[in-house]
Amino acid sequence: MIASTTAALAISTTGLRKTYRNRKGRHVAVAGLDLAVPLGGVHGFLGPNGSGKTTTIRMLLGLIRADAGTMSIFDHEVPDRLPDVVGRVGAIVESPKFFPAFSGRKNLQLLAEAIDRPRGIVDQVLEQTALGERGKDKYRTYSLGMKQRLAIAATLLKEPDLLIFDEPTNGLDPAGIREIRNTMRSLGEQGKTVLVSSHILDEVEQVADTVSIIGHGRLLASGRVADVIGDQTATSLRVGVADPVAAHRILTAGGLLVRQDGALLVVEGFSDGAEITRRLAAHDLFVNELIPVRADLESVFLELTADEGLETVGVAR
Amino acid sequence: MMRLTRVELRRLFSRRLTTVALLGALILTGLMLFDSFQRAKPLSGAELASQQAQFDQAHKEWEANGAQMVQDCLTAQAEQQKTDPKAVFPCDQMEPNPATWGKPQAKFAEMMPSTLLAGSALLIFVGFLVGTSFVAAEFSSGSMANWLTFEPRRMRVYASKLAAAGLGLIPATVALLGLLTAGVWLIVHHFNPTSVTTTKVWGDLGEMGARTVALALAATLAGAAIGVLVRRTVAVLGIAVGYLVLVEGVFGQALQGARPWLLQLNVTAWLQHGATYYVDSCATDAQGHYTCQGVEKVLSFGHSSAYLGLLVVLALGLAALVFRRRDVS
Ligand SMILES: Nc1ncnc2c1ncn2[C@@H]1O[C@H](COP(=O)(O)OP(=O)(O)O)[C@@H](O)[C@H]1O
Ligand SMILES: [Mg+2]
Repeated sequence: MIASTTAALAISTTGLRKTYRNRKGRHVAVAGLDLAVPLGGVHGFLGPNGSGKTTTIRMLLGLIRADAGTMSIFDHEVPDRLPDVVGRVGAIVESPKFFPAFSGRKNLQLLAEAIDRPRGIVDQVLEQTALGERGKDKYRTYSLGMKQRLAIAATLLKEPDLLIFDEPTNGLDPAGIREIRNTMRSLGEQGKTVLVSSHILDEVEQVADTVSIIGHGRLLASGRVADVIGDQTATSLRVGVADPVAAHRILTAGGLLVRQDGALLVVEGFSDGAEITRRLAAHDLFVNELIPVRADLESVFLELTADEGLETVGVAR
Repeated sequence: MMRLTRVELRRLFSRRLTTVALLGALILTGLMLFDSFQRAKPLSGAELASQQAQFDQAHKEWEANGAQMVQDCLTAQAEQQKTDPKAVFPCDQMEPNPATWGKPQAKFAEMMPSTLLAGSALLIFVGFLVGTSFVAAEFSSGSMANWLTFEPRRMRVYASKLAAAGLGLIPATVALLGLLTAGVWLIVHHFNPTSVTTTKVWGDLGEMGARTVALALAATLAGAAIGVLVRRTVAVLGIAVGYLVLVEGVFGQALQGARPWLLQLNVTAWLQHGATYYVDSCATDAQGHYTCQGVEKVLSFGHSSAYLGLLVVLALGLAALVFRRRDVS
């Protein structure tokens, strides 16, 4: 857990709760969330779909009301003092939303004028997000990647210190994903704080410095990415060898959990490839393929929820 | 707040619906002027000749059978008076009179009020439509959430939207009313240069115009407020049409006691400084006949002002309360 010295935090929440009520009944989306996002760098907000990430972000931005708990951004209580800090916060919640019949430029011009930014800034941010030429086209003609870039351009109108991106790579092609991830990294390196929510472990591992993992609206783990995901993750190894039956026997005898997967063996919960190679070589079996298998979000979750003594968290990907 | 209102005004006039609605209003104003032109136009030579021929024909008919026609008329009247003692037939006006035969000369004081009433209805509708869609589009496109991340003070956002919708439509309403009035005046004077318009008539028209502008403004604000509540333009229009047909039409016909609370009647009363309407008054008379009569009632200007004002204030207040607290996503 990150030490809760509020002074050095970009975002903090304590006991945050939100229950949605509709015709189908009540649904607890956020259930006492304590979140602490340090100043500077990229913070991953990791959790499976439906774990309450978007709901939390909406509460931070004053779009929906929390039922209980406190929140602050840069030490300003929100939503009460949100008007004081909102100028430093750029946010994209879920998919980008603009006026479809207006051009990208017109949409940005209206926003820039609303916060009293000089006129030139619109062209500047369009240029920054490589939309320059297409800025004059109607928003509804944009591809998803361009919409996402326009949304980023909109956040940059404020020259923000904190950027909040809610699953920004959803639905993008690989090039678009790489682009967005690079943008986030570079913003983090410029000293800005980036909060990026995601349900993809790899993504958080690639872009984030620190991470908070949530499930069922509660904090499960938080800290430096290497510590949280690295340590708590049970990785496994896929091993290719000429005689898998013999290798299976040897490794099992050595106390490892091994199962056969086609022509390969899978060693569960073990990530030391050198050790496997050494043990098999001792019996004249030579490894011709060795693939470390990254734990996916599901296994991290199973492990975290087991640690916390919570009931198993359902994971949808 | 000033800045936000300015931005909203810019957005209002960048919207296609605003342009289309105002253009449509301009075209309809043109059509109303064309209609006024047709009504004011004196008959052409050929039409005059055929009219004269018709008159001669009618006069000849009168010469030959006039006495008999009056007699028939009186007989029919006597017959009718057996069931309705008060029935009076115009038997003494049956002779064709060259003075009342044919098309009377156009008079501004006679043409303008009805034209203005039609124009007012149009402008009130345009205000409502533009106001409602101006706000609702922002909810249905989802851009409201984005907007609120730039300006989270909801009451400012709400007020600036109302202010922009109202401020934007007032000049357009005034301009269209001016165009309509000037157009009718020019048409009438083109055909009938001797038509005089008294200051009293001008005063009445001016007041009616001012009331139209006020009501169009109220409709715009109420439209925007309902847009906040319903969040979809199509749904608002559906509700409005459904209300007019079911409540004002069907229900209003059936339940006569409710008429003073119908929107259309109050709007008319507001525009015309009072309006009359009829309710059936039924009773069994001395002879045991059950008869119904239309009784004229007056809906006062004061009633309509208070009622419409209350409705607008309620809509604005309710929308403010809802918008202040609502989850926007
Ligand atoms: N407007 C809403 N009404 C009712 N339930 C909702 C609403 N929005 C989200 N939820 C529910 O709340 C839970 C959390 O949703 P969300 O915050 O969107 O999760 P995430 O962003 O982590 O995928 C989900 O179970 C979702 O179905
Ligand atoms: Mg989400």
